[in-house]
Amino acid sequence: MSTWQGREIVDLLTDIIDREIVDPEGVPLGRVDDLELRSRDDGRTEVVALLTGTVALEPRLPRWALTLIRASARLTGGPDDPRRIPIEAITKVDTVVSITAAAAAAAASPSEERLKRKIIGRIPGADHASE
Amino acid sequence: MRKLLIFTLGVFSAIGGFVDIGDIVSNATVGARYGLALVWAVVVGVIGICVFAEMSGRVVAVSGSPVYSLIRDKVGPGAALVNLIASFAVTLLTLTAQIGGIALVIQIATTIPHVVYVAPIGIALWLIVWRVKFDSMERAFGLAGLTIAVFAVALWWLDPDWGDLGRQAVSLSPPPGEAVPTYLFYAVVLFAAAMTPYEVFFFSSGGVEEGWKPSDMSTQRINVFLGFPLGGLLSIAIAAAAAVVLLPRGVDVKTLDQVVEPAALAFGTAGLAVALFGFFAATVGAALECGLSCGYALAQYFGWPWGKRVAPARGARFHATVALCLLVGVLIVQTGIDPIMVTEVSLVFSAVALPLTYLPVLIAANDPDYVGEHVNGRLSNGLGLAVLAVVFIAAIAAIPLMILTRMGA
Repeated sequence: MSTWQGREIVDLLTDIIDREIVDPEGVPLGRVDDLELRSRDDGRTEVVALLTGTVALEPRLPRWALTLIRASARLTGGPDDPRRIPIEAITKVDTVVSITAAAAAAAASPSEERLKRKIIGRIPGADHASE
Repeated sequence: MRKLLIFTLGVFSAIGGFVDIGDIVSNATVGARYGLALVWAVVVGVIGICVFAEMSGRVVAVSGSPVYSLIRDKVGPGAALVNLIASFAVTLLTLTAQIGGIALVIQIATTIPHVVYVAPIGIALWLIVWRVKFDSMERAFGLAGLTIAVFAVALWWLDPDWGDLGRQAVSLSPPPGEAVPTYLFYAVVLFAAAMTPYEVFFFSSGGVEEGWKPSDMSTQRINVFLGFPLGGLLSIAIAAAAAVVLLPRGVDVKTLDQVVEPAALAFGTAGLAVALFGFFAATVGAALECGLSCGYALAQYFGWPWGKRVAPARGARFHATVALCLLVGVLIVQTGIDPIMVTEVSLVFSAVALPLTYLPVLIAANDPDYVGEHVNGRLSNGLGLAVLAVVFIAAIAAIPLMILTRMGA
């Protein structure tokens, strides 16, 4: 509902972290697990990219959860490096973060890809949505 | 005309889709033991599910996101992960109970032990998840589940002492000689059966799959406020039929054969067949909802592509999750463990997990970031908080009551 349009202050922790990232069709490709920050010459800090992937999420998870998360990442052939979505690729932020088709393709999940290639994509009918 | 038809279909499939193996087993057990003296617990549960389904329907229609996708934004990944694991485990257990229920229904119809059917049932469920359209799936099983109304017809046919049934329903206390803790244990179980967590998971994710818009809100409201209470009546009919046929004989319900007896007594083999068909549709529908809900929960936490609107190849992790959950359910039932017992255990743990399911709904429905001008009014919040109070009491009481009463023995 609420967009960033016309706002002077944005709280990164509540207004972007953990939001779902979607491609132009609205299909999710991850969540904002972390942010990449850069110190500018004028001493200020700016956000340069969104990071998504379980490795980027790990620092914010309780310790007991790490074993579980890492085991499930290994199960799908990971862990993989976080995928990086440059800030310029964001087209809109509301309850979800929309990004361009090109950025979405570049940030596609490697584990999704492996699971598709090795198992799911080989089952007849895998290419048809049931709608 | 077409609109009216779709609308009616929605209400009817909400009625038929309300009942699952948990409702069937708990209502029959309670009816045979307490008559209608616990009907209030079903009524409170139905009010609860109506209030919260309406809220989550509104959140979906306005924000386009399912309720549990929003929860990680709100509470952060750690707390959301605890919620995810608990809800996921309970839903997996509920799925197992439904698979066992389907197998028991076929066992009664064919007199061959249920373990024979478990693997084929698993494969059939997976094929439906893989291939069948979301709306068709919802409608077909919901409508077929309406045949459970045979219990209401059987009740009318047997023409019991209606005054006596009425007195039981308003007594609000255990019949003479029954212990209060056991009575309360069954109250918690009935309440949990009406409000089983997967129902809201499925309802809110299903709304996204069907692409609800703010303009669909009034239709959804009528589906919820008409369909769920009428579905609750089907549950009560099962309890009332058990109260009339099984209670006087002192039957302690331990098998599904006993549950369908009233229908058979009233209408012979035809009644039995219709009741079994209804149970079959209800449990298959619920198994699909539970299986998909496991996938929804995991996918929404991590932001994977999910649902039946994307091709399986695009939602590989989602489909792998659903398939694995079906496999786990099948393997548990295949051990030969009594599905009725699995059902009872799943209801106790559902009760424990209820706050994790319903608190987020109330938070999301009050957040203008998600629902804009459609935030909860005073009525929704008043009812929501009242139900949530009952939810917390049930959750806290469930395990102690289970231990104290040795599972209602």
